[in-house]
Amino acid sequence: MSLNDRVNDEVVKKLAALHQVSPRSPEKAVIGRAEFLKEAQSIARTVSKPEERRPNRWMGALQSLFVNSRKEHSPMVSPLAMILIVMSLLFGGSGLTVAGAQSSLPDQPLYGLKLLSEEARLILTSSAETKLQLQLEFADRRSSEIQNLIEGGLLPSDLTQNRYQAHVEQTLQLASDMPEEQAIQAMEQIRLRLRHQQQAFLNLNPNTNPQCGAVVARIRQMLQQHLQWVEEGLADPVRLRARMRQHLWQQPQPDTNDGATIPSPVSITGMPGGSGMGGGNPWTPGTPTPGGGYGPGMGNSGGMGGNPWTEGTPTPGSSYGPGPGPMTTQSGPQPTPGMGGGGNHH
Amino acid sequence: MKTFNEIDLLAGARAFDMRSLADIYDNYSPGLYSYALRLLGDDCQAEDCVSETFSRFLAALRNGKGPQDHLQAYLFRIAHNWITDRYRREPPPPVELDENVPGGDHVKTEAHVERRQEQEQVRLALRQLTPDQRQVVVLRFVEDWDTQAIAEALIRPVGAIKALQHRALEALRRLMLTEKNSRAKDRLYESE
Repeated sequence: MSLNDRVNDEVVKKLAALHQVSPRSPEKAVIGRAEFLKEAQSIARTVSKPEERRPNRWMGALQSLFVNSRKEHSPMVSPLAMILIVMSLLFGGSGLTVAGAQSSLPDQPLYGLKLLSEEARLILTSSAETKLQLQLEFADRRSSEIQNLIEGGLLPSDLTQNRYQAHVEQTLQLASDMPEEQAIQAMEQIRLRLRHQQQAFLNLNPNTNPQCGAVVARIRQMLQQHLQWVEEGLADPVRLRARMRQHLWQQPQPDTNDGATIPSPVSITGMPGGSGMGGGNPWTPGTPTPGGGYGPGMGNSGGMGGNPWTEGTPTPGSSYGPGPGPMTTQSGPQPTPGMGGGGNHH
Repeated sequence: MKTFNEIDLLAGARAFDMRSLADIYDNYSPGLYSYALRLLGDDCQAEDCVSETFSRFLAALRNGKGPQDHLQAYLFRIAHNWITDRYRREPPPPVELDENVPGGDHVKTEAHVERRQEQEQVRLALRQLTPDQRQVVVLRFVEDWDTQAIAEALIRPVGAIKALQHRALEALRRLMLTEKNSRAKDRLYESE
């Protein structure tokens, strides 16, 4: 080793003195993170252009009771705080009950309150961007709830699964209605969220309950299908808009038999809102909608015909028509009559 | 385990997806804090550096700018520039010579004091390098980055990075040997 190298080694050894530094304070790390996200949210609000819609009379009156009419957004009345106040006035009891409901699962007593508070948050916002963020958040929630149930050995109900799908589809619907630049931004967000959720379900081990395996497979397939739509939409937003409009025309009216007003579109399970009717699509008798969860298979096997969005041969890997789709699930779940019954469903 | 790569995180960040931005902060803020603390020697200043780095990142995103890739390199570049500005604005702190050691484990405390002094001396030497020399030598020998990653951070070719590294080590050798000789002389005078 030359003198030069030896001296350089000595310099490098001295630099190594800087390796050992005291660890970061956890409290300061948390504060720093919170401030960063707060700044990001503030910027996000100024970057997006919310649609301004004049509220109707009763909404305006209700909002005016609880929302500052000043131009500046009041930090004193957050949307959740507003919900708590409204719930307390309408239903009595403490707003803390509503707050406590936010972490409940479908098998718990306060879950209905959680869904109602979500619905209220959607109603009380007129901004498409905010609605999108809410639907993304609610899709995350349904995803986490289903995973928690499965990990606990409980079978998520058809209703819970359908709600999850509804939130996912709402995000696509909202994105497709936005101007192109906003739509692309929105779809990038949706893609990230769906990938997160897809990864979580890929990592999920449903061994505790055999029926959960079928649920997980259906959800994976649902996510894959919607991810594919997002990818197509990113390449061509106009196509997504056309797809969502066509998809919407085939939807039933919102199913309110469970008290939740979130529309239940073509369900993952083939069961409309848990009514227990099995078999084919009850609203469009005849040919099931490919990928709609009705009829044999979820589309990647069973050969129910070509891609409805394009006439002619199915798109390879589209999960329509015969042959393997993008998911490795061997066969789609068959809707079984009375699937809503039996077992421990939540 | 990181599920998504930098490209996905950046796409989410540009869309102001909160989860992506939170992931970015969680992934990169610890490394940035350590880097800043090593160069500044003060935890409050290191926190300021991290905070300002991410704030500038958000400002770039808001203006439609920011990195298309190499996010870590981009963030470290911002932190480095902030630290360089701080060096220019503030004089270097004096190296403390704590002669009055409080009671307790004398040996352990003395070792701690010696380590702190050594760190301060290294920081002093680093401050006298050019900003690029300093960033190269710290990323290479303190943060253990490879040359390619450093090239991305400085937006320079690998050859230029190696040249900077060579000149930085030469400069540090002169500075540290000069300092070492000076302290040796001081000890000699004290003993007489």
